[in-house]
Amino acid sequence: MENTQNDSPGLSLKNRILLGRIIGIAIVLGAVATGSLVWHINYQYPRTNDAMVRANIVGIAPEVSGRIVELHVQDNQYVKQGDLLYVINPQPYQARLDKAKAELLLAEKEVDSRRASSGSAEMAIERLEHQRAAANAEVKKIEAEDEYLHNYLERLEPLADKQYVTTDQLKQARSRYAASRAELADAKAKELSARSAIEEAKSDSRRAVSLIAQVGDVNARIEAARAMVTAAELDLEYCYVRAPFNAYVTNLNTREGEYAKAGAQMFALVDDRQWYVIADFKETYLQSIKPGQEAEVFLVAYPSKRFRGVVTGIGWANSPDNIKQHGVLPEVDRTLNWVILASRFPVRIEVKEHDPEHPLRMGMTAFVTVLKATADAAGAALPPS
Amino acid sequence: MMAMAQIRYRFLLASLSIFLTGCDPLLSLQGSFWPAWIICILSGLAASMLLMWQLVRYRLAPHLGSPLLIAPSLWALCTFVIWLVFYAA
Repeated sequence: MENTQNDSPGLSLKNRILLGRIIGIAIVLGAVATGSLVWHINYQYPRTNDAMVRANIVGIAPEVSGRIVELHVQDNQYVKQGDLLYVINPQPYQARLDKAKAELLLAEKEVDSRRASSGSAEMAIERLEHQRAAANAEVKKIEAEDEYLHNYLERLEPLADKQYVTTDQLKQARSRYAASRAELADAKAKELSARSAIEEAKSDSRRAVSLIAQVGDVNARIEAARAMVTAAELDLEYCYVRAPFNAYVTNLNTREGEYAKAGAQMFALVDDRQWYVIADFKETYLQSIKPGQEAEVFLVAYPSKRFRGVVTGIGWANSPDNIKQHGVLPEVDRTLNWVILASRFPVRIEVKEHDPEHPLRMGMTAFVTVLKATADAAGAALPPS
Repeated sequence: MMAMAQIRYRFLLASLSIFLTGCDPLLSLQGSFWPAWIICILSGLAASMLLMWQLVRYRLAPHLGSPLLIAPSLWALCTFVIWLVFYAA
């Protein structure tokens, strides 16, 4: 009855058959055409819901150990670059700095003292040089006398044979010559002694110079002491831990009085300068994704908002599923995998918008669509919200 | 009467909010997120049933062709059209 009421008065059976065929063909062709279009769009604008927001996380660990005496931040607090986060008891490090400064003064004084010693050694060498010169002159004088006495004796001896001189005169000449030889030997010994004294003084002088530890314009002792002062100053500065960049404090579960160990992370900072979405795309879509392309980011936390992003890179490595090795041999499973799932690669998309009304939090669920336009060409391809 | 009007108003607001988030690529249901293609398949099924009912009503259904071909094609067509209209952009 209802069908009879809805029948069009002018629609005959023949027309209904014709219209039905046309609609049937249109349905089939339309399904194929729209299906192809959907397939094409999916490859042209790859999209995935396997995506999450993330930021760079930096663990904050002190450079020096000590008890925390001041804690200036709370969990989840926003801090700006340079803000004081906490203070480690600086008293021990202040004492070390004072000690290092005192040691620097001591080193400077010690070097001055050694320089004075070195100067004295130089003067001693000069004095000994004079003594050696005097001894040398004495040797020459005695050698001259010795030569004269020797010649005199040689002249007397033939005359003594002919008895032109007395035996006493000859003995006297021989005695004077022998005394002269002895004086010459003594003078030479003194000259040698002066030489060895000079060598010893020079050796002492070299030792004094090396103890000064002067290399060119740099004095190693003083530089070492200065380095200790610098290290102590750095340690003291490290007691005051500051935020390295604008960030959010996270996972802070301690208060004043905690003993902080150097290198042990106390809490983390979430870098607020750059936010990313890591979207895991199937490998079949990767040929449509290039760094620099615009991307639209949807966060389920903010349904009415669309964030603008830019692809900054595609992951180069994933842990392969078929490589296992527990011992020395590879472990290969027996499988009959007819259907193999596509691997996914992380695509890093930098979120370019920072909206205080819609703050980003690491771990938020995201849906990403990569657009074809590159970031430079697209400009404001997406509306601001 | 006033209570009924208020209920209708609230229902209208709720419906509007569904339309506002209707084009989101993920549908959130109590913390579970459903992909667009599931929404398209289900709404495509409903739309194809509605259309088929109309075709039957106008006595065109027997002349469309093989039901084994027409019914899935109509479902696919509705699914794809909904996706293209609401989610492709």
